[in-house]
Amino acid sequence: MAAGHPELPMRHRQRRLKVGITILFVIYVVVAVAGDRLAPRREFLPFFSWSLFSNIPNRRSTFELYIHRVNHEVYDEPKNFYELPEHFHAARRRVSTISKSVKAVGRALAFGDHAADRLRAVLEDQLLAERLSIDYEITRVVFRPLDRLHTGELIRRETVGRFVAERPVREASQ
Amino acid sequence: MTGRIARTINRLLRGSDLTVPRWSLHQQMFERAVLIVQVYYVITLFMLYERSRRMAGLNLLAETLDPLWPVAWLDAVGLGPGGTMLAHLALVAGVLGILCWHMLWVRVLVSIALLQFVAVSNSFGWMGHGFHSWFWISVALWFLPAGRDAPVGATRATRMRFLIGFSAAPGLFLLFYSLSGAYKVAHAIVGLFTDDISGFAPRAMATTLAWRTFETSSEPLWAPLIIHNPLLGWPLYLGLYYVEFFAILTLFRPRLHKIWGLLMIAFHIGTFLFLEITFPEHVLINGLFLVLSPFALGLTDWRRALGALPIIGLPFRPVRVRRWSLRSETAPGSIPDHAQ
Repeated sequence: MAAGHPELPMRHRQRRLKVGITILFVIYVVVAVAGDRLAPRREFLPFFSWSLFSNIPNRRSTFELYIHRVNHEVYDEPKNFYELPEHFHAARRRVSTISKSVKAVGRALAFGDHAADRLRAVLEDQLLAERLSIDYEITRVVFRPLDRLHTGELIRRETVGRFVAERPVREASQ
Repeated sequence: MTGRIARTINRLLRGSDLTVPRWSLHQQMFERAVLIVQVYYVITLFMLYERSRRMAGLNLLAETLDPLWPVAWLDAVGLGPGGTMLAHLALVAGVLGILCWHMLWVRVLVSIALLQFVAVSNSFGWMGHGFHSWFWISVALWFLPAGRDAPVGATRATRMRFLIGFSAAPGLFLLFYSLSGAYKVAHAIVGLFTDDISGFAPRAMATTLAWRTFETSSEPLWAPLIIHNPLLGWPLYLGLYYVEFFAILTLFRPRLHKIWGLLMIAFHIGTFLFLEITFPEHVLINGLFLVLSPFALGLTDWRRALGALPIIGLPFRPVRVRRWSLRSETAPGSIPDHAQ
């Protein structure tokens, strides 16, 4: 970046270097902020805005994964994915990538995004591939975090999509 | 007029920390910076090497990807051959990085390899950001002078250009924290006038932690402490906003580099204890580029550091600012350990 040009005076070259660095910083901020508002994934990779835990809504709206049936085991009430660690390795890992995947699919379904099918295929491949047949739904839930933690209360719950993930016998665990 | 504006901006950015030029320490600063760059590329090799194994088996990790633009080519070549190519790129770039980091094209190649891994790891339907900063540091290092003389620093001009180029790395990293802080402060201000909870409110941290438990169904070690005693989290959250928001300012106040690096590491320890989120790459970057900052060499006076703190340091600033000298910072006859 700063190679060559021995004829330039030292001070001038240093100033040019500082200007170059400043331009990089400005470009980064502009693209990152634009991505946060405009990009489908809130980011024009690799310009991330670093807006993490900035917004603290009183009522949180998000998407969650609920399971109706695993193979022949049917549940009276759909179970949250995390309640089935005996079926899904991912449910034991307790990492945010699970909720991020579910939210990506939920948003795509809710807004009719053409990427929904592909995102759903990735989700089934990454989270649900351990069983032959799974009946699941993506649910939008609205809640007050502290209230839900203390009492389990949800303000609203609605299904945005219900699907069956089928795997060939040789690939699934059972 | 322009000169006056420049001086005003300079004074605002640097506060009372008018401690440069410290000519007597520039050689040591340069040597420290070179060492940090070398360590960065050694760790980069370690990271690329470790990931190359997963890339070689990419077709076993996933049947379907939602590839981001840097790895859109995987759709054309397939995950098997694509993973093999990525693994080779990682190994070649990583090894060249430790051997020839002084060559610009090698630094660019390392950045390309890192970007490929950032893109692959985010092509599974979700976005994670732990590795972004490590990639961006590699981009910032493009500003280092190129050529065989660069690591030797044969002339003062080369050393100065190296140090300025090097400063882009901590600068960019601190900018990320300031961006994060700016978003938090903006949302907190909006929250004061809406139904949302302001980040300045006493229960802001407790609410955030409660929400997080539903994201991962996790039980972070220290989260219940704050959830059941929200007031305990108030000063922690306000402190976090302060440290993040003013992070970029500390680039111009080298007295604060070490303390800001330690605060940021403490913050990431906190994200683990309270949220069960870890940022190991960020801990490394803070340790290397801030705690070991070459620009902080010889700056040991804690009272002056107190005065350099943004805003809250104002009452502690000396009325008359003295230029830096080794003698003014240390007891007569002694040289700071880390400046030797």
